[in-house]
Amino acid sequence: MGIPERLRSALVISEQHLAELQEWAQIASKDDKEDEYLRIQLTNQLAQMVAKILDDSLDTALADIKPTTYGADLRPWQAPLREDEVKPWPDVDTLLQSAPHLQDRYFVVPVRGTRAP
Amino acid sequence: MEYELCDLTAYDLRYMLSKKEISAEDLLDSVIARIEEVEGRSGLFDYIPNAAQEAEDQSKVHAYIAPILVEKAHEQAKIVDKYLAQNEDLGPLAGIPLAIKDIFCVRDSLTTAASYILHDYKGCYDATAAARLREQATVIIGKTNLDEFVLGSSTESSAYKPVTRNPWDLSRVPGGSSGGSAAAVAAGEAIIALGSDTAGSVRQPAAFCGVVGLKPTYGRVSRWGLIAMASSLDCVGPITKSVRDCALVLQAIAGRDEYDWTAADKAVPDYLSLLNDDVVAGVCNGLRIGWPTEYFEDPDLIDPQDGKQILDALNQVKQVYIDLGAEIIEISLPHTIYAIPVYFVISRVELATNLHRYDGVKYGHRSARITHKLFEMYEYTRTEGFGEQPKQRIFMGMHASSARNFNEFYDRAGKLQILIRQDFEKAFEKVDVIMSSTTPTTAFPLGGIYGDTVQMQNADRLTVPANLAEIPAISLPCGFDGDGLPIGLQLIGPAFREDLILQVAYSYERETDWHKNRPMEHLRREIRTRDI
Repeated sequence: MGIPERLRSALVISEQHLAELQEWAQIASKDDKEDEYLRIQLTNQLAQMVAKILDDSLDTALADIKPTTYGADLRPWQAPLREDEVKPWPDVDTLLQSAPHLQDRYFVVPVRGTRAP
Repeated sequence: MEYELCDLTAYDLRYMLSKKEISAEDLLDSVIARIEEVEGRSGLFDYIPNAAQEAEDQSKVHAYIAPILVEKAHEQAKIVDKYLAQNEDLGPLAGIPLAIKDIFCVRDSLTTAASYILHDYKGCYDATAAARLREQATVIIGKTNLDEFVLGSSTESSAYKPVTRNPWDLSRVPGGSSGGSAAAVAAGEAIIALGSDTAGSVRQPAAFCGVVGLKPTYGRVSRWGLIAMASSLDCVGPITKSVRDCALVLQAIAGRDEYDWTAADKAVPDYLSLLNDDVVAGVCNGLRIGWPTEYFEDPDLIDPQDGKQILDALNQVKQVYIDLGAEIIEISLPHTIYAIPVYFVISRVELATNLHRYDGVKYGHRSARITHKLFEMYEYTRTEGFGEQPKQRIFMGMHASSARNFNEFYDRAGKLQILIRQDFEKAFEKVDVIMSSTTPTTAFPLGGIYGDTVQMQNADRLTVPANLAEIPAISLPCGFDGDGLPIGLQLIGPAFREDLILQVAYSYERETDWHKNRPMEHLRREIRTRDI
């Protein structure tokens, strides 16, 4: 019993993988010191926390549990889902005041040379 | 000790207000005087103190993230007094000074989530919980400090310094993430406060600061206007000086909300009337209280050496309940040991999704660096705006939810969450409530474990199971350790049985004096010593 061999590489964050995560998250590397801190912390978290739930000794207990889409089952006491209808917000101008860059009530963003995500 | 108005409970103050023994302005003046005495300066993003400022900062509590709203609070108090003079019934919380964790949107007030990325964001509307307390004519004093985006258990990760300190010992953390709210209530800088609890963020700081904190059932209180961390786990809860105050606040904020479909469509009981002394008198007679053996015997949950004084306090609590007629029954919650790893995966995946909305377009910080590329603008903005804690949790969330890891990480964590919930369901077939300590240790020193993300997360190991099971839990004071630091008792109940855990908590509170202790004597001594 233990961590399946195929999952061991997922429990280590290499420099290359950190760079990949930074790109996905659109958060750049600040400096080598922060990168090193993040890499060590993430690897520690995987080894000391996440590894516990990957242990194959749990496979039998989990075999008959159906996966859910929302953490736990949808709850019977919830209000019924409302219709997905668009309702105007009563005070749009106040919302727009929060925007960092606005022109003629439109959000302004850079557009030229946009790279694919 | 001699109490000042700001040291009293909302329950007692509402009586004094209704009898016109005091005015809302008198009460507000008392709270503001206390703030002037113990608070110190509020949070700054560019915090670079000189030696004198640093010494001064170390002698104050710093519960609030921004200057308190003195003028607005006086206006609100005056209005309350005007109506009270006309014998208008404004509700049980009218005129009671309220502090709100800066994770709730409050109209026209800065709402930062303790992050630089929201440093200039003003709430455009009131969160439902804040709106309902405003409708009750509470007097909103200000916004309290927290861990950045609630990510922490000590309030040290806030981007706004000086850090909040524990009023019982200024060298210790107040807990987190609702550390500012708990410290404010404990120090008399507010009478009641709003917090949020995703893994223990109401209960753990309440325990560390010697006050009462309640995490309701998921769905009991609307999350509308609560800045999201992990949407399937976030709960809104009160932090107060007594169990009855907790009931008063819960009464005001609970119930269905058309803006949040996860808010339960379920009637809200009259919590306060259920705490009537005559009603509560017989509650513990024949009550079955679960004693989870793992919580008391597993060294990974409570260390027998470090936690000895906590275990001793819990044994004394047990005796109080036995004397009241309750039966203590040993139970097992075998999957509790997986609660932190499960929470770890689920919360980070949800957090990474939630924090993607901060992109510098619609609100919040946008980098001033010039670029003509949209994705570069996102990157500059998010790199400048987020601190280390959000960054590492976003990365972990993306790692755990990536296509190659999703089934083994997130999906498996979701299945284990169901086993944890089933543990509680089985336990509640045998017992009515479950007791444990709220925390494995008392308040730890500032800087003691900050930076070690695994240890910090482990501070929540006794509180997080209730979040994963979506059930209510309350923390209340049950003693002090040898260093004079408060110890918290946690009572956990079945879904939507806030009424029961409030009654069982109040039964204990009636028999003991722990909740009557205030840190002021100690705090004033510390302030004097540090001033010298």
